[in-house]
Amino acid sequence: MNTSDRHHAASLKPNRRELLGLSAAAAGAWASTALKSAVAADGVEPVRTAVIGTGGRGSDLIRSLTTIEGCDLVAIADDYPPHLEKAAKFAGPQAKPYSDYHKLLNEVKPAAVIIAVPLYLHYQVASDALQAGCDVFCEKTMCHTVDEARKLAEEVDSAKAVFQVGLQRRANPIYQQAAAMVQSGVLGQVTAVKAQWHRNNNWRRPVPVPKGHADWTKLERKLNWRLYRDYSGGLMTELGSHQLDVVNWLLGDIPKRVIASGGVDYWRDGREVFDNVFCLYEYELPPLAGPRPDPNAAALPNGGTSETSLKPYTVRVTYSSLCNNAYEGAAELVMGTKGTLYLTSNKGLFYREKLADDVGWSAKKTADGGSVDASVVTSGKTLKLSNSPWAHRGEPLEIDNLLGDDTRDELVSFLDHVRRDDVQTICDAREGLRDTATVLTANRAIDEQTSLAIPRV
Amino acid sequence: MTVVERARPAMGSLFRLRLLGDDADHLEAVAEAALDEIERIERLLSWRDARSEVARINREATARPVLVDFELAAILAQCQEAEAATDGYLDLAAAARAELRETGRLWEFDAERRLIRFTCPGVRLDFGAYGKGYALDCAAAELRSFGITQALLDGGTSSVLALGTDEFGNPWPVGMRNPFAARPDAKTTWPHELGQLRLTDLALSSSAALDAGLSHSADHDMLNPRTGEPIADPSAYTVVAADGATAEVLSTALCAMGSAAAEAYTKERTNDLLAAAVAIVRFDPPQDADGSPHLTPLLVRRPGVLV
Ligand SMILES: NC(=O)c1ccc[n+]([C@@H]2O[C@H](COP(=O)([O-])OP(=O)(O)OC[C@H]3O[C@@H](n4cnc5c(N)ncnc54)[C@H](O)[C@@H]3O)[C@@H](O)[C@H]2O)c1
Repeated sequence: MNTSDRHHAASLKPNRRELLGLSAAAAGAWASTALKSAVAADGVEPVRTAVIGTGGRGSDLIRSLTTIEGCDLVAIADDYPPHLEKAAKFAGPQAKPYSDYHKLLNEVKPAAVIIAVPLYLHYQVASDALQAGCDVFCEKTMCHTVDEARKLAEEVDSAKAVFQVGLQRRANPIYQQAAAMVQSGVLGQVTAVKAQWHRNNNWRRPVPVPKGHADWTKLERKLNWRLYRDYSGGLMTELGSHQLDVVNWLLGDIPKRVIASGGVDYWRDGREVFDNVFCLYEYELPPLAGPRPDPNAAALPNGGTSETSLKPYTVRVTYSSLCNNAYEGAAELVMGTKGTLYLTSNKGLFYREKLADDVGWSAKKTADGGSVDASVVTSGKTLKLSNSPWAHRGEPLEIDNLLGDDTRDELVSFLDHVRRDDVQTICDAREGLRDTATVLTANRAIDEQTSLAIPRV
Repeated sequence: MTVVERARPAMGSLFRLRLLGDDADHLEAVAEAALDEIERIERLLSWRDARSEVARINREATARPVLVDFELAAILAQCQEAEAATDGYLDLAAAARAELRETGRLWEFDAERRLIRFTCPGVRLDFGAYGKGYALDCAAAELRSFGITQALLDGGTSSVLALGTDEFGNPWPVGMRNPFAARPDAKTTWPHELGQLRLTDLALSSSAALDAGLSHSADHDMLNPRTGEPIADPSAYTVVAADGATAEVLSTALCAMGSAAAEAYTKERTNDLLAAAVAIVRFDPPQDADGSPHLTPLLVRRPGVLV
């Protein structure tokens, strides 16, 4: 289906003022207030949308989609009846349930498809949806292998489809602010990043039949797909993909190399994916854009010159994920020569570095401009430094997310792009491919116990 | 028999689960799933979390009607019915109402279109009188769907839900203390239990003042939503019902009515909400010199629930 067909297929709905239904006079008065999202604007055509995979994440997405005025959720599909039934309640009576997503694509011909099936099926379902002429939102990680991700990115290009990967931090105002701060040099030169997602639980979903039951093994693999390698890349694809995408985004490139270590060391319950991973990535970046170093300035340390300072430099990024200690939680720490960003989905903190000229001597001139106030005032009492281990950090500046939910916002953004047929989504297939290569290469480095180059994708 | 206990902070208090069964791995996985479900309800209903649906409504519904999801639509419809059934004493906008000194309707909900809007600026919804009970109901549904038949769940001890029986095959016992006994102006304190409830497949909710969790007004006593004034004759209530949301809504509304009006309401009115109550117990501040505890059963529909 080409774009104009797609838009034709969208059922025409009454314009917004009719949709309100409440009080026309009041609606007129409210209309003057600026609206946050473009979807609520007058005369918007709802996008006929379907969701494939209605488990935990699919249900989150369904609940969000049903709050977006420009979305017409027409169908849902899942091959596991309990999940389909539960999701049908969230999706509402207008959404037709299917157990076979092929049938959904054929019969419903949605304009946009939202995919939240297990990782190993992302490629196949996304590819089928593209074939059916749909725009596609695919949950992270984009694909189970780098080859699949390459193929999918090509298929997206040739279909000229609108495609977005479900990496919702891209829609989060905290991360958007962080990216702007890093890219405009507020942190100085970023030299290192430390990111982790540490939790303390076995990461298992319950199985609805007892262990001896004939269906137990089948259901266990179906529901706990993230613990088995045929279906999942474990912690790196399920958690790391979010955070390494943030790093790729903030640093503006993907890493060159990775060394990594991991294993099944605590939850020895038959799972095949690591229950702890530690990675060290090397990024090679051009120096900060900006004024060239002053040739008359004092020599750089270690005999460096302004010439050598223009060479690419290495940023090292450590990433870890645990399932048996939650102390550090989930966060990214972006370290620059002038400041540090501590980032989470609902709070960001910015700490300025104490620089050498920050000694805090008083040097005020007196009113007549002549003599200078005493730089030091002594009074017999030693000013003691705080013994708090965090005293050196000073008070942070806070970045709050007061606007809402990044999952809903990423969907609003996707549907906006679909409506405008704009392929430059907040996280397109090329970004998804880079993210896939970044996390999957770490898994391979662990298996092969060697340092690996990240494929140039 | 294996017992698995798990707890997680949510809605400004601690939610605890005690699950009985025979496979510890299974019980642990189910407990996590049930706690995740409670967290999901917090993310739906907590006005404090900017990411919640209720926070979105509170931000936007003054400017324009806000489209809510099917679950929240059902909740709003249920609360609207409860508001009517309690003569407005269940009031999701109570805290804003007190500030605005408004007595009329503050929000309108078009159930068919799932659109909510506020009728004036400054309104905000607060599901403190609903959320914990609903969260327990959802968690219990999760437990049942994974074959759990015996469990005790509580949210900050003021909301409790019991599935099946305890490890001895008896209804789960829940002790009651007089909430006024802990007040600084109480003449005497009674650390001991005044009585017990025995619960099987029942939920309870106790209300003495706006609770701290989802509520805007953590620090002061509950106000009469119809007058915006403090309640003249405060009492506290424990309500037992088949589901947590009903118990929560009723205990809050009775509390807001004040003692005399609540007694008349319980005795004289008939409606679906009251019909769903299994037991209603009132606690009064101590008045006599000997400080004898005041526990008054206003309604007991099932023998053996109150002992
Ligand atoms: N962005 C996020 O924050 C986030 C969070 C959680 C999960 N996810 C992603 O969402 C995806 C799903 O994860 P989940 O946690 O919801 O898993 P899940 O197991 O709860 O849900 C997956 C669903 O897909 C269904 N499914 C499997 N094969 C199917 C088929 N052939 N046709 C139709 N349905 C099929 C399953 O029955 C199941 O209901 C994964 O890619 C995961 O990485 C993203």
